[in-house]
Amino acid sequence: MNRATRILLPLGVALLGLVAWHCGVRLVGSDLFPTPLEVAQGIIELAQAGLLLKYIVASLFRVTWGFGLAVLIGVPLGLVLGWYSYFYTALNPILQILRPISPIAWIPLAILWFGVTDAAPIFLIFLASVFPITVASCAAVHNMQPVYVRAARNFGLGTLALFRQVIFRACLPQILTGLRIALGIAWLVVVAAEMIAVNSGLGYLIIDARNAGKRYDLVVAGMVLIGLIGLGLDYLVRQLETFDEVRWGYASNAR
Amino acid sequence: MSAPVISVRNLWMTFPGKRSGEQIHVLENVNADITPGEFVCIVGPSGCGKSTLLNIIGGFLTQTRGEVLVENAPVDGPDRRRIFVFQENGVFPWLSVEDNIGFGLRDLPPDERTATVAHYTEMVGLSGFEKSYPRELSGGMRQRVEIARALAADPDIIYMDEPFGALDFITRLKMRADLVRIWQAEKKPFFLSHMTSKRLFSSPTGSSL
Repeated sequence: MNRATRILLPLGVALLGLVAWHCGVRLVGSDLFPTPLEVAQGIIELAQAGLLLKYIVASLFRVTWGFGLAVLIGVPLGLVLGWYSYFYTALNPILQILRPISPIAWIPLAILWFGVTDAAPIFLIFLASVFPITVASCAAVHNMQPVYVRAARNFGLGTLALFRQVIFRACLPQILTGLRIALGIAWLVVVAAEMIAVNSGLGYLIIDARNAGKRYDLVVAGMVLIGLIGLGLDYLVRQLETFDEVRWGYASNAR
Repeated sequence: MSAPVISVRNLWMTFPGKRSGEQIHVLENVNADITPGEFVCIVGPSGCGKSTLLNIIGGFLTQTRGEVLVENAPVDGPDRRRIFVFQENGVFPWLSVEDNIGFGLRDLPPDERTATVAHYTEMVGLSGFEKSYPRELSGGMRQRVEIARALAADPDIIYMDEPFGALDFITRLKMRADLVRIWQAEKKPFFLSHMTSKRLFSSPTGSSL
């Protein structure tokens, strides 16, 4: 597939979707549900009020902290769990109990512990992304080819060097895939967290627009912005997968 | 004849079988002496224990019974003075060719390291591919990277476990000739296992390759 097709094909389909959306709203004659044009005007209105950038930055700020902390803790924890079977046996059941609890369920506790500050949504985003990152890193060690470790041991690497230079590097392609999934979840959760705990961000925009005068154009504008930024974040992580250090770990027919 | 560099004494390796109580003796009372500079091949059909023997000598497996002495000391785990070239190719796919070949040279000063890497890159015929990554190379080239990585670390002995097993016939012929040439240049003991259907076990020298 050439470059033009790769860009124009999805763009054309999206355009068709917008047209269908517009015609659908007109056909039904709804006063409440906005057309794409009204949503675009809503976004422009937000920009003129200086809220667009402020809300996007607020949401991205929370994701950066929550997700960043989850990476810093989840990756080393997962590698250690994957490598030392005693750690795995001891901690894996607890991990599997905590993992299926939705971050939304933690909201009351998050507010109790952190109040209505940025720390509450950051904590929720951290919780949402730390488990998929840990599990992916741990599984990556379990799936690693043992020959790399044997070769490294043969060259006299100590434990720390073994983790840094071999285990981490051998697991990096799978870890990146885990990060990509976790970032998607983190972005999903930032919006839910902002609906309750704070007074800025895209999640807050949606709830605020509905409560303050049923501005459904702004509600949908918030949804569209969340989707577009999600697409951008996923694109950024996928760019990491093209580096020589990890490209060997992906099947060539996938890209 | 000089003193043996590797001594295998009454070596047994037994694995538990599928049924309980059943035992599979992969190695039964193996004895061998290898002198410095010798080029030794273990030959035999698939599954006869060549890799098991080599892995015990290399320190990656522990024997059931018997003794393996390398340079007069019992083998206790892998050792950086004795480098193993793996059957399944142990080249690190996340490092370029030159970083792979220089992997065992972490303690050398940078310029010395660069010179050594360049020397062995040329010896295995990979000049021009220094910046390439293993996924961009053919199977034979990857095997050369691993052999160069082993040589560059300046080990006393090199073990090779079916180093040409995964290669096609023509590449294998060329690699054999190259290996003999490298062995003659390096004067190091080479100890390798090699699959063939003709003989079960054969110890001495270069001609049996």
